[in-house]
This record gives sequence, structure tokens and C-alpha cells, in this order.
Amino acid sequence: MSRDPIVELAGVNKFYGENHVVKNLDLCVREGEFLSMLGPSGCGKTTTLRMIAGFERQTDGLITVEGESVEEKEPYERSVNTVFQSYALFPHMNVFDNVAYGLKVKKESKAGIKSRVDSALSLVRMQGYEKRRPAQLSGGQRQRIAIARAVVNNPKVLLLDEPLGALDMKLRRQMQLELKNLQKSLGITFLYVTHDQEEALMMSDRIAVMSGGVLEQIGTPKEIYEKPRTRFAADFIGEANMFEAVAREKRSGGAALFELESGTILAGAPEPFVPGEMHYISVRPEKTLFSSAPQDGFTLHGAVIEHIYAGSGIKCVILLPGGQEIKINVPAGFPAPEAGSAVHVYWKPGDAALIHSDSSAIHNTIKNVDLGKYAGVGHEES
Amino acid sequence: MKAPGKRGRRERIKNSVSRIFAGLVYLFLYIPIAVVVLFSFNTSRRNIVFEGFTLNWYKELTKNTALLEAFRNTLIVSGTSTVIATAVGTLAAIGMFRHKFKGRSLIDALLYIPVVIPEIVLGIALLSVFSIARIPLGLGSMILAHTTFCIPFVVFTVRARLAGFDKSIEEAAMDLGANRVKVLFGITLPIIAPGIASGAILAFTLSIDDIVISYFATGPSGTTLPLKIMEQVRAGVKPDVYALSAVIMLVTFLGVLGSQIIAYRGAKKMALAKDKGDL
Repeated sequence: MSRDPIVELAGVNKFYGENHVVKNLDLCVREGEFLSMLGPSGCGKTTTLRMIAGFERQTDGLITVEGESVEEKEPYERSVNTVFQSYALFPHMNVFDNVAYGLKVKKESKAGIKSRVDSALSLVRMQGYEKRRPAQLSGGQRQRIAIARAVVNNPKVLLLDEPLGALDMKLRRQMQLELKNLQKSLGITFLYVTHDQEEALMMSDRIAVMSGGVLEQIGTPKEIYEKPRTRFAADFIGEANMFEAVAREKRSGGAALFELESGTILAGAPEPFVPGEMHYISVRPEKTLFSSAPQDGFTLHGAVIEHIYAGSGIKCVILLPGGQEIKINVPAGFPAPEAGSAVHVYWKPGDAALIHSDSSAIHNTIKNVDLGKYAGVGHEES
Repeated sequence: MKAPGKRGRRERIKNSVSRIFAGLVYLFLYIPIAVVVLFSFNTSRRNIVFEGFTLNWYKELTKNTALLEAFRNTLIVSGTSTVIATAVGTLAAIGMFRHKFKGRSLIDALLYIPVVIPEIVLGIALLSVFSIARIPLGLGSMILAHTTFCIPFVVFTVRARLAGFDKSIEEAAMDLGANRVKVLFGITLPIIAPGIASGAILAFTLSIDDIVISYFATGPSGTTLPLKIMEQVRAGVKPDVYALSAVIMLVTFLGVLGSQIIAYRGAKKMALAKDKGDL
């Protein structure tokens, strides 16, 4: 599979009036990959998708598809197709005419249209529904038709705007697998917008995490989950125990000793190592361990204040003397600390993610700003 | 069975009272209409007693060239102004739905004015515009006048239809390669067609029986049916006017029925689509 860039955004900004919705975005989508844009609503992911499709125009910056600027191209002149959250099927046409629409507009031959629509419908397992109207279909079926209507045109890139957002959980899980398989078998580049982190982790080759119009981090699901580079990425994807830590001394094996408010910990040493520098350190609850005796380098201990049975495991909350709460997930079948007991907390230094110091500096600044002043400034995605 | 009996009786009385009341309302509404239709078949020239059944008045109607001429004028005026008002009103509704622009709410409010101001004021206003602009009074000025007062009604009905319209449907069509013209004619207009049709029928029925505005906008070159009837009634009501009224009533009734059926079907389809879980 070739991995050349197929869609590129360089320095793209989008303003709605005063609202700066997309901020200086650089993004490269590679041919054949499944790239998810993940973030909370209002983070600019849908706007970005709509700019690539041509429904919105960027305020400045460059968007190229297959190396060619799409600046002057109308949506109907672009070689991308979109699957909409609301499906946007044509209510006055039956399923066949819906799927055939793109081909008819391009004046394909009747026989060609018939065979391509047939194969698109069989791809989404909707043969036999040709004569139905969209109103006579269930949500999941409409979703399949919307996908068939887009892929029948053999787009270079398929843009999907929260396509599973309106489905119930079970159908959603099933469609996630189907979509992933479809993408693999067709080899079409998918640019997928979602706010569901689990969905993004499961389906994507790469994830672009966005927040407040800024691209926070882009990487494989494993990178994003295990090595979040910003506080936002660590917080938004999965659960995280977050620490403000000051680097103290280098240890063997690439680890370093850090000092917290309530003790010392070990984590991977930052490069370059500057003693006294502040870092954020994030550790996943399932990587956080406990013991009755102190472990080398760790002097964190606290009281177990919650012990919750959650089926596949046990979730504990430990209160540190400084007031911080730490979550620990213990898989079922392993011993978990009892509520009320006192335990020592530690982890393997390699399991702690060091958060990029730039953004910790920014977050430090933000922390000292009175946020109340800006209450209600946030914007909603259209 | 005692308690429900007492309550049941009260319920029954309540039901029959409301039925009688509703019956009376409809009686008062439809008796005059029924009388007109009945007397159009009366052999007597005077409309006090029904003497016998005849179709003579309908026959006479076909010979009355002045009335037929007025009828032709009415069709020309109503037909033309309906077509123009429907086209303009539909485009206005789509434009106001699609774009947010400065002064949209002002334009919105201004649309209601021709609907709510007394017709006689609108008639005088139009007449003065025609005389200032030196537009000769006749069929042309009447078409202009009728178009003017029909446009808001078309805008309202089309806009009501557009209220449930998902804008991403148009985007989807464009995304699939359709340019703006193809989207308008292949997607938007067919979807809102029921709204356009009921707007057009409403405009036509309003235009065909208009008197007040027509009275001001008319000229020597042509008079419409309602004006002609007014003129004749002044000299006493002849049964052929009854016959004509019956015909007009039939046409209007069919028009209203048609628009109701279209609106009902559209509403049912929309409700069905919503039921099936767009949310």
C-alpha cells in the first residue's frame, strides 16, 4: 500500500466572524489510511471536514487533494465524497436512485450504473432494497445506503462525519467493524470524524486529536493512548492519572526521579534532562500498581477511599495526602486493595507518559489565568 | 353500575350538546350555499319558491357572451398571476431559508403586511402606484395587482414545507457532483413540490374570487367574473348568476380539496420519515 499524502492541509485557519474555529492546522492524510479526527464537539473537526469537502471555505491556508489545490473548486468538482451524520438520503428517490445519483449526474451508461449500484449495494449487504424509499428503512439500513451512495463513485477519499452518531450502541459496534473491513477491502482513504474515543481507537490507523481548533497530537492509536503528548490528549482518551512533577535526578535504564507534592516517583527521563524542570506525567489506571511495601524510587502512599466492582475488574480510588485522587483498575481475578486500607502506589517507569513540555508551559500559563473571565466564549460547531 | 350510569348520562348529554352545536354551525355555513345551488336549477325566474327542475340557466350561461368574456379574463388574470407569484414566492422562500443575511427578519415582517392590511388599502395603494408609474389599467395591471397579493401566501406555504428540510441533502447532492442548477431542479424543488403546489392552489383560489383589489386595478379593457357578477347583481339577481356561482363554487371546492390532499400526503410522508428515526 502506498503511503503518499493524498490530502494535505497547510496553515489552515477558519473564522466564523470573531470565532477562530480552526487554528493554523497542518494535517497530512496518507493514501489508503483510516485517519480519525477525534475531539469534543466544537473542536473544529467537522469544520475541517467540511472545508475539505468544499462546503466551507477556509479563511486562509492551503488545502490540496492529490497535490492539487482545491481552493477554486466547488464541492461538485472535488474528487472526495462525504457520508453525512444525518445520512442526507434523497427522500423522493428510492434506494437505487439514491445510490445511482452520483453516476447519473456524471452521465454514466445505464448498464454501467446498474452494475456499479448492484455491487455497491452488495458491498453494504442491501441488495433487494432497491425499490424502497429512505423513509421505509431503519437507521442502520439508511446508514448503509448513505455509505453505498458515496463509495459507488470510487472517491479518492471518503469523508465521514460522525456517520454512526445516530445509531444505538449495539448497532454502532457492529457498523464500526463493518466500516473498518469495508475500508480495508476497498483501499479507499477514510477521513473519519468522531467524538467517541473508543471508536477512534478501534477503527483508525492514525488518530488526529483536536481541541479548541488546534491539532493536539497525531499518531497511531497505540501512540496516542500510551504516549499522549498533551494533557488534553491524555485526559480525553481513556482515563489518566495526571501529575505535576519536577525532574530531580537521572536513574539507570532511561528513568528519572521526579518530585511531586506528595512524594517521589519514577518515569522515563526527558530529553534533554534539565533538573528542576516541570513536567506533566500521565499514567493509565490499568498501569498503576499498588503494594503494601514502598517500591524503589516511589514514596506515594494513600488511603483507599473507593473499591468498586465493575464486572471485568475492580476500580479503586486512592486519596493522596495532598488531596489528589488516583484511580487504579485491577483486572478481575487479581487482588485489589480493600477500602480503608493504606497502600503504596507505583508503576513501571516505562508506563508513565511524559507530556510535552511546550504544552505544559502553556497549561501552566492558562492555569494562572482567571478562566471565569472567558466563561461563555466557547463556540459550537455548526 | 350505578355510579358509571350517572356519569355516563352526563357524558352522553355533553356529547349530544356539542354535536348539535357543531351541526348548527355547519348548517348556517352551508344552507346559503345549498340554496344558491338549488335555485340554479329552479324554473322560476324569481328566487322565492322552488317551482321545478331545469338546466336552462346553465344553458343560458353559455350564451351570455359578456359573462363568458369576463370568465376568460378571470382565467387569464388568475392563471398568469398564479404562475408568476408561485415562481417568485418559491424562490423567495428558498432564498430566505438558505441564506442568513442582514435585514432578513425585516423582509420577513414586511411579507405579512400585504396579508394583514385591509384589501381596500392595498387596492388604493396599487391604483396610485399604477397611475404614478403610468401603467395603463386593464388585464396587465390586474395581473400585477394579483401577483402582488399572492406572493406572500406562496412564500408562507413553501416556507412551511422547507421547515423540515435537511440542508445536508442539498450538500450531499453537490458532493455527488451535481451543480447548483441540478440540485435545485433535481433535489430541492421535487422535495418541496407539495408545498409549491398547495401555495399555487391557494394563490389561484384567492385570485379567482378577488373583488376589492380587482375593482381598483381594473380598466376598460377587461373585467373579471366577480366584478361582472357584482355589476349584474345591482340590477337584481338572475338565476343564471346562481348557475355561475354554482360552477365557481365547484371549481373552488375542487381546488381546495386538491390542495388539502397534497398537503396531507406531504405531512404524512414527513411524519413517516420522522417516525422511522431520523433522530
